[in-house]
Amino acid sequence: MSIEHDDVRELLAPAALGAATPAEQIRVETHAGGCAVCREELERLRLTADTLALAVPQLEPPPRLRESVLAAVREELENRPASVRPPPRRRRAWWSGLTALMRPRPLLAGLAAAATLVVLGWNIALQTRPDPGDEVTATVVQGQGSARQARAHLIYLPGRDAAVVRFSGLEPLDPGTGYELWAVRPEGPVSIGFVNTSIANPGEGVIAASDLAGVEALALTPEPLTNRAAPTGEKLVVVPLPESV
Amino acid sequence: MNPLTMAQLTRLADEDLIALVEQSDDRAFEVLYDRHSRVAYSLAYRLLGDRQAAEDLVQDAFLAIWRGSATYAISRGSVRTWLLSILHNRGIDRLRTSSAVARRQEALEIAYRASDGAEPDVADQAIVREQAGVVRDALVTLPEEQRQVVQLAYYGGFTHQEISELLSVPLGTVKSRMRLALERIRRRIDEPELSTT
Repeated sequence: MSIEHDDVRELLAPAALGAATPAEQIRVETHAGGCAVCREELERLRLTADTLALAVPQLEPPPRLRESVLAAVREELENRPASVRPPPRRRRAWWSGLTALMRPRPLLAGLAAAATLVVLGWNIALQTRPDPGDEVTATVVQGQGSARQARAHLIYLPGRDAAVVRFSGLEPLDPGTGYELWAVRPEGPVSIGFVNTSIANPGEGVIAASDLAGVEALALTPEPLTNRAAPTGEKLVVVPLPESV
Repeated sequence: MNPLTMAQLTRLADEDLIALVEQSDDRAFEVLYDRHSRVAYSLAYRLLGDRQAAEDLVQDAFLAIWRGSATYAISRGSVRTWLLSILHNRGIDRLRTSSAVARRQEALEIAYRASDGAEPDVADQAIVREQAGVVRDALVTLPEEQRQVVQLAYYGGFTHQEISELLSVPLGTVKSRMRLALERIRRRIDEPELSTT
């Protein structure tokens, strides 16, 4: 290990406690970005330091603070411009079989999905009201191909046109690559974004998705971080969305 | 688009609520606020020692989340930990802008408040009591010299260099005490039964 490594390692505990100077903090972050040993140790120390927040005597915040925070949020919400949908992407060959199977022939689509996916559980967790717009469904799907150990946990909110997918059991990727989630549409896959994977546990990650109307499935592929045009990697996990979308 | 009922939102995990907040769901944000405002306000007050300043800091931290200026990373642990980390960082920034004289006076109070973590707290509620108890116990059982540096750093916002000067101990010793303290706290949290031995 280098002198820089040894010097930075001494700064990890101060950095975790917020007791490093700004220059030292940058130095620590820079070094940890390329040093797995220091990165993991820093995360471990930070997680410990963060627990100190819980040790203080508990006080009840005044009601006016709640009113003030929520009023500020709602004021900003009223003035916030509508989000812009991502542009449609060019269709890729490997999706065509999936979309062709899933759209026009629902029964065959189900069989095809069953052949490639193992649906471990389907829990209608929060269907407490008959209005389908209020449904929350949770699905667990096993990976396929070289990612059979992977799991995708889908929380789908059809009434909000949104979903959250949590992944576990993913293999760490080389630097410069990441796990990208795609919305499978009849006209082709559209990038949702790269999964936010954990530094401490690179096999875990989470991503949120919206604008799911017309989306038949979500699919995960490994991609270069610079690629946002169309999927090029092996599809590792495919999560079908309920037909009520 | 039919929104979820508040009852349904309150049953979602924090991570799921954050995903909704990122999509401008103000009611998901409201649920998050109700879950974590108490512990956030308590930390803010502990850091700044003033109710109005604490309110400003809590509002600042929650609005940072709402505005997307802070992005949740699962590597930072739970959403609550993440929120408190944001609040702590901003609180430390505010502490460091206060005058050096005032801060040194505060330091004496912080550094020698030996029973700080052990005082009974009648205001405590069940929401974080168990976890708070474990962490407090870990703090209390630290050797005095380790607890001092942790309290000065985390709650006082002092740099390790400032702590070295305040306590008149070498810089390397301060850094070493910080590491030892965190490792010891970690062990206590991982194995809370140690606290009774």
